[in-house]
Amino acid sequence: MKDLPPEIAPRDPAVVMRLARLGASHQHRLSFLRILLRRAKADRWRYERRVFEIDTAGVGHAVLTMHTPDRAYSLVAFSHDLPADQRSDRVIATAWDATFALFDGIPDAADIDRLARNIPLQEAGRVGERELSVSRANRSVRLWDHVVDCLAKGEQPEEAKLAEVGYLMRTTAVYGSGKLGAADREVTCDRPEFLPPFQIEMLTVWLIRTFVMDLVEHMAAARSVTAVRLDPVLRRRFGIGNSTGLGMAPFLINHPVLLNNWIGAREEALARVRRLPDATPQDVARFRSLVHRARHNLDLWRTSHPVQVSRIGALRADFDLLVTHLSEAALDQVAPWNRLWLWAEGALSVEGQEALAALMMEPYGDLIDGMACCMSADEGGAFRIDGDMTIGALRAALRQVYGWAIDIDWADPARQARVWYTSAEKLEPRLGDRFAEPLAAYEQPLSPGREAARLFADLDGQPEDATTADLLQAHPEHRHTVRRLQVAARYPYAELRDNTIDAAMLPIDLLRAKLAFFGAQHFDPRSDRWVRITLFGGAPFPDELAQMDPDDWTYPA
Amino acid sequence: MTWSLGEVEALARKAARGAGYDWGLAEEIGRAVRWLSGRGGPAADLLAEYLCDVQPAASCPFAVGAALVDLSGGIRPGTEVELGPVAAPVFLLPFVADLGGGRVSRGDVTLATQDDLSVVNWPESWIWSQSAVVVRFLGVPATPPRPLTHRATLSHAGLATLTTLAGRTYAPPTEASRVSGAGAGLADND
Repeated sequence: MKDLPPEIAPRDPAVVMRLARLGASHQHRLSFLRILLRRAKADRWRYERRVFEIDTAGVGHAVLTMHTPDRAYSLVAFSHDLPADQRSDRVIATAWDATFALFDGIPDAADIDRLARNIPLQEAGRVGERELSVSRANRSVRLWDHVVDCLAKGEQPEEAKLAEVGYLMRTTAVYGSGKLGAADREVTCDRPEFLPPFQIEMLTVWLIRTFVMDLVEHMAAARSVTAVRLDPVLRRRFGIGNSTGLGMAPFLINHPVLLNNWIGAREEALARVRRLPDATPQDVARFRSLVHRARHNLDLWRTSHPVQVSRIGALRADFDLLVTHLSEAALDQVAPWNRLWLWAEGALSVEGQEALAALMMEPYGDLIDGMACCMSADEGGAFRIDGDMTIGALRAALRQVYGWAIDIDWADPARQARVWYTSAEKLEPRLGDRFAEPLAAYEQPLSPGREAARLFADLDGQPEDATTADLLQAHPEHRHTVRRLQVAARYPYAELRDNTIDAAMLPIDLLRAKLAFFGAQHFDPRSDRWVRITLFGGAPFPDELAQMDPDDWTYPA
Repeated sequence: MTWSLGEVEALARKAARGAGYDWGLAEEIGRAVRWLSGRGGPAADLLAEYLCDVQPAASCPFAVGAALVDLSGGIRPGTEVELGPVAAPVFLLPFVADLGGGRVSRGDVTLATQDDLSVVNWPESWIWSQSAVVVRFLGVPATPPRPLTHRATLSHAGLATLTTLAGRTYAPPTEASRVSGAGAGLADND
């Protein structure tokens, strides 16, 4: 073989870890719900609706169980009759249309009684080690009523109305990993099905979607004996919405090793595709078809947020450029993907580049999917500070990871305009104005750039061969930042390369980065710190996965 | 009622910060409470007691433990370190475990990192005594033993104390923060 491309390294963290680029992330093969569906298919998980005791007013409970080769997991769903004036997506709400727990095994009557007393209360209730997640969802009232009306009349809902919303219910929180007393991640992380990140949460949401579709048909049937069920193809197009606010934003900052492993896996996947010396005609055909489907998918992406509206406009233009480019430049040259990528870096917007990265990964499951098992992390394993590291080495690491922050003029109020804090009233992460509100005393450690710049300033004049241990004796206040620096020096994608307290910072960028790894589509920002998305739209339901491709649905045909 | 280890870790971290520790050491405290709780010890309750009654004559076990880890370059198997008076020295165990395991002794009571701490009745002297503590490192280069339990205990009194301290890290509401802090305010009934 001749003219092999030179070794292509994964992208530079200084490019990848900018907030604007992370905020342009798209779902891809290594997104967590896709990992879940591939495993469910490969291991032939069996679905069983064990209980569905819901009355004609929509009140009652259901148990939906997935049987894996070794275990069973059950979604216990409680359906409520919620007055419209209590329907709020905010995490601080106290009543919901439906509430859920994912139970480890098959619950007996005593378990159901216990959960019925606690799950509808959400944060005000308590669960235990048998519960793996706790969550809740609210109806999209417009679409819900339309679908129930249509089905009760014996008709199918209008496709246009479905496309406008995309889901019948949206979750407003999915708590896992020990929250509210549920099982810690350590309890389940040795099970192969839960080795990749957020598999418990993704399984919960997949089963919630199944329950919601059963419920809407049940409500139509309760209204009319001549009601029909949803057409299976139309039914599959319903996803589950999710409404996410600031509560999720600190997560990526607080889990640097995990963030590194997510981004690192994706970047290695992209690099592997770029390194391919050639592409088979089948791979090329598959890619071309997906480009057209992805272009069509943009038409289903609805948002009224001005920033996202203009980004989608730019993305449409990017796809036009891409289609033209693909008709002119063949993919049968040497290193076709790397050539395409290098063209895209000069020709497309950041949104377009990130969309292309996800599309280029699609034909290459055998090259990429195995990396799913490398995406979890033990943050504790990186916790210990290396006290022997010299000040000289610390300084060099600071320049390498935080050079951008050291260069910021922190005296400019706009550069530290924001304060991340937790509100006493709601115990939720919030973002405030440092110079307008008395919040600085309550600041959370979520401004790594500024802290790194402070550390760098305090190293001034210290001898190169002094140690980190010496530094921390004199400056214990830098302990958090030194730990973070040592992690970021070892894990290239652990740290954001942007100022998280800048006046111009957009929290939705952090939210989107995480949600894209979940597998979210159709990001619809509701403000600069609040976003709605769709999960599983187009995906097979648990009882049809055996007959369907677990991956070929994220770009509608 | 039992608690997940994640819950007691988060509560301990926030309470420590509320009690005046820097975030970096507060993180160590959360992790130490998690480690001890996972070995069956009532660590969150002990932390509540300790944070309410810091004794100036004895060193902070968390500061000492963290410094031991920072300075661990010279520690070899069999190394013994005399630490002087350290308050609540059971909190040194998680740090010793981080360095490969070992024993912590005060007077004639010795605890080891591989003990099941739930069966140990931590003597009062182990919290309040002013006598010296000796750490002996076994330096067995093994991965730390897994938790014996994934559930933590916490008394009502301990919970109240830690919750009050954690509450000091929360900002009281203002009109501006109510309106803008979470960035919502749009109708959700759609």
